[in-house]
Amino acid sequence: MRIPPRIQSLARNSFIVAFLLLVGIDAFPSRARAVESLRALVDPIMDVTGLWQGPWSLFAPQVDKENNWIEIRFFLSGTAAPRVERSPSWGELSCWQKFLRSREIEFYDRISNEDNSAAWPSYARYLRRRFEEANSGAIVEKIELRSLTSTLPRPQGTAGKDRSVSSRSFYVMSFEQP
Amino acid sequence: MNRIGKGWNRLFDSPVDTRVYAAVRFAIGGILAVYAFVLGPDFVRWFAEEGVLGRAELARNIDLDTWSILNWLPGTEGALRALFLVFCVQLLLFLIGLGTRFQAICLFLWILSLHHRNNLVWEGGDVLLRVSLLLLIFMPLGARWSVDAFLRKRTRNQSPVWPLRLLQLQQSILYLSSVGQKLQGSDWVRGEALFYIGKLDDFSGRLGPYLLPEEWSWGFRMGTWMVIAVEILIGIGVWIPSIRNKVVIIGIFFHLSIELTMNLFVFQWLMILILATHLATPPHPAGTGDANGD
Repeated sequence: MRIPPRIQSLARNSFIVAFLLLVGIDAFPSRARAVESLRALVDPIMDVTGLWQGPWSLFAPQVDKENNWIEIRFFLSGTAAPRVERSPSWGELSCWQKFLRSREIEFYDRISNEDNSAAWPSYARYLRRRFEEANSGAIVEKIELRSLTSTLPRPQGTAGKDRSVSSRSFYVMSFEQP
Repeated sequence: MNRIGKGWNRLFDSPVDTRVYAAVRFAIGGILAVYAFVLGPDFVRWFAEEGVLGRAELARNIDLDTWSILNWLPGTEGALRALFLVFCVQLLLFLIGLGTRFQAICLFLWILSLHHRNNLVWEGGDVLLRVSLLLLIFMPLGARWSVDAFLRKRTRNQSPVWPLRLLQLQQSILYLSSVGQKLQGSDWVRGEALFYIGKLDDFSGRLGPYLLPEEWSWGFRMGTWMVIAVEILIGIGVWIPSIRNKVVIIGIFFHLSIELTMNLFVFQWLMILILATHLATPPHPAGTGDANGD
């Protein structure tokens, strides 16, 4: 059965209008209450269809002014001092290496964020499994996740203080031994 | 009203050479191949149940309206490796154009599913790729230079431009949304944004420190404001027939310069591809109707 051209045209135009309206609302660069309400209204549709995007920040409204690393402290059974691993120092990697590890960059950038705290237990369990597989006989009793932050200097001639590297513990997980 | 209707029809109904759609297929297929190359070695780490993010934790860390095929399938290492293989085979079929629309639908569903299975590893370029893939479903990507076209033994030379237009409009929305965000931030308004961006270890690229050295303060200030100006110019200018081609060329150079100075995975290449499609599509309603462009 062939769909009449009029119906085809109507369906296509409806799709175009819906697409532009939904994307326009979702990407509209405002946190005004009315816009947020509209965004919340269309949010389920955006999620289900995979159209979600939100306002395109692209280093805006404020640029991140910190370089971050993740430090993982493995506390092992029968050992006092923890074994320490750190996420890569991205500045020491070549562009090609950074390109290949783009996913890791995003992951390490986000994992210490409080908004993603639900992911911390899973990440700690993954780290424990990986460590015990790589070091046969080692038993991890506790894992501590720390975030290291280096604040960027300000441009010359502008007010404000520079800070050095700071460190904070954001998650600790103890494992029951069998 | 009639004029608006005519303008609308010319914007979305104008015919476009189906070779343009075939070229889009190759370009997006190439970007997806890079995607697969980068994701492949870490597929299990990012998406398996035994990876960095289990499903139970994911459910507490992501919008509940989202869905993923990966959540309905076994999350074991073996299953994930098999799924990655299926993804690669479908990508290959998409590139050669066999069952092209079906492959386009599946590739969109795969990417959507990956994005919703682990929401901690994606950036803006991935979002644009996902939305682009949704629009690709509506394009006659296999009409030319494909096994589908060969088997049909009948070539469709032209097709309506509307799916491509939506992709172009999505890009303009992206630019203007970004400008709106930037104008709300003091870093951009004061002209300091590029100074900081150049010092972010994870994003800084090949030539950043040489092109905008720290002591060259007027350089990064001008550069910062130039970014806003160029984004406004491209977001609007590509819809003005008399300047469209020049704006597209400026836009391509703009994104190439970002590619040289920053590491943003495939974002710049996707933006360049969408910009380039303007050169191969008919003029917009305000234009003359000359299918060759300006």
